[in-house]
Amino acid sequence: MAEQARVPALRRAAVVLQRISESDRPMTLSELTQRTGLPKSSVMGICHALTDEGLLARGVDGTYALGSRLYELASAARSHGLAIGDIGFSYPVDESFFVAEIAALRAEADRLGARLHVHAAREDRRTQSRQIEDFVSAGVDFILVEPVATDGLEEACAKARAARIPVVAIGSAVSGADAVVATDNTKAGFLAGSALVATLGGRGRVAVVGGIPITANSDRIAGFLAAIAPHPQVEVVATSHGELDAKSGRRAATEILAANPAVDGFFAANDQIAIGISRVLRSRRRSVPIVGVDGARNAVEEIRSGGPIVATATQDPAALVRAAMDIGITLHGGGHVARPSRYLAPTLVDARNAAEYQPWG
Amino acid sequence: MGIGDSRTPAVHRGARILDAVSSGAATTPATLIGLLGLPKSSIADLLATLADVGFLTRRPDGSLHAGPLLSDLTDPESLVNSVFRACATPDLEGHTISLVRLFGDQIVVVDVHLGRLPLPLTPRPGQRANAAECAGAAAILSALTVAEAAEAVSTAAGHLGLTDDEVARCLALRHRRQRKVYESQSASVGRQLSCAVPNTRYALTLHVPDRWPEPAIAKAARALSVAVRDY
Repeated sequence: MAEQARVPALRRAAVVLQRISESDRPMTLSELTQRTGLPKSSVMGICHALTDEGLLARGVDGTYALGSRLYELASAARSHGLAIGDIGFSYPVDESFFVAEIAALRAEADRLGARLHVHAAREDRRTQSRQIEDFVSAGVDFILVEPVATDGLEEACAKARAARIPVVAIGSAVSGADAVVATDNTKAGFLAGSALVATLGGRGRVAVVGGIPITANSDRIAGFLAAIAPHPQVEVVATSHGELDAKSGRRAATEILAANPAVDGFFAANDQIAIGISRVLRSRRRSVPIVGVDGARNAVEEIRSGGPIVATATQDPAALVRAAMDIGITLHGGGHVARPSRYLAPTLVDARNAAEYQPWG
Repeated sequence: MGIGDSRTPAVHRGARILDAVSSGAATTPATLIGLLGLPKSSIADLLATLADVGFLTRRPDGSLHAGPLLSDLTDPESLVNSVFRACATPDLEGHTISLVRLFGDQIVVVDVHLGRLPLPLTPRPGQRANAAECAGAAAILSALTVAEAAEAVSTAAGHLGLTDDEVARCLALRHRRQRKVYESQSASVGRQLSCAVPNTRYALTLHVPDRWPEPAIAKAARALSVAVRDY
């Protein structure tokens, strides 16, 4: 109550505005006095001040209606964003990149005073689809999805759309999502490919190890292939697919080396696959350069110590999260997003700049 | 009247704080003190009361923002965000859309989602315009019965000093047969398409840019009617 007593005139002004807002027609001073229960002189003073400020409009008959400035202030309040209460985030698996995204999301949610609900889909699109639907049932304000697959989430996204809950994909596009924020993965693949071509001196047999079936990985491979295309003496002799962890990279490398022992270089769709490949090569005391994508700490440490990983094209999980949150907040507030597909530029980390690069995670 | 002459200076000071915060000119107590030249204790009291009644909110990082009461007062049915969100479709992308209500023989713009293309008159929140020049008036009145329409116009007739003829002219905007989309064209406010928001006394208006191709207008009209149906 001590707080309430601080500036009673402001509190009374709020009551007057509420009574007028509730009325379906302009109100007289007498009606306001009666409905607010405040002294008439006080109501009169407040109405005069509110009218002076444009928060009320006084009619020719002396009645009061809401003023134009109140609408302006209300519009500004909406454009500053509705309060964000709950955010849902579904991601594939507890791999370091997603862990870094979650850390950035927690920081953003704390800044907004929002609750973050985080669920791992364990690389299963049905699980991820169900998680999106659960977020819709729970009535979160918007949903962020780091997808396990590009397709297969359309139904869940449609339910979110029907419930007016925006879905923003992070990291890779999703069919049915309202927006996507991702690294420019084609460029990332191109940077990594260019680095491998340079390391090999423009000739050699290379193996490509892709990732899970999302556009990010196909874009990276496309970028890699575009980088080696002008170099006819760089030949892709093996193609395989890993997942999101080093174990899958080990498996892919073992299979590739069994069929093609003379591989001269590897492109890995992400750094954890690259780490797995590196472990196989180290165990066989093979010096074969690997390039990857992510800019992960363990990959950068290998670059600093001389390989086999020689380069990685960076992603910035915190920047991806911030951009996705901005879009989610805008869409939640009913706003339009000028660019619903936003791609952040990667950079290349190799032996020349690895010492200065600050890896995430 | 200046603050010094007012019997309720706190209301003026509160309004200045709301202006500063909502415009982004000041979002911390310290910047408000510098901007308004009021003592720290006065600012603290004003902010505490403004926050307490819902005019302001203080986020966890300490920054001040316009509060939910402002939106509740002007949009008591919480339509603005829902209908604008429903307009986030390719056919309405980049265009100016407003939620309007009737006030006597005027249309009041409750809020606006501004587009990218120039208009003869850029609508602003709180702006009033002659109902006869706004498609929203026909949309709202035509969704009401004759008696409801008469009541809707006459409630503000005294406030605006409308004559019986002026009330009648406004009521003449009502169509006997309801349409999905209403259209208006005037030199001062330009061309508008509008749909009544069902079960409310509001309309959603698309402000049509000059030289916009007719096929795109037809698509936008359909998207507008879907938005008010599905919001």
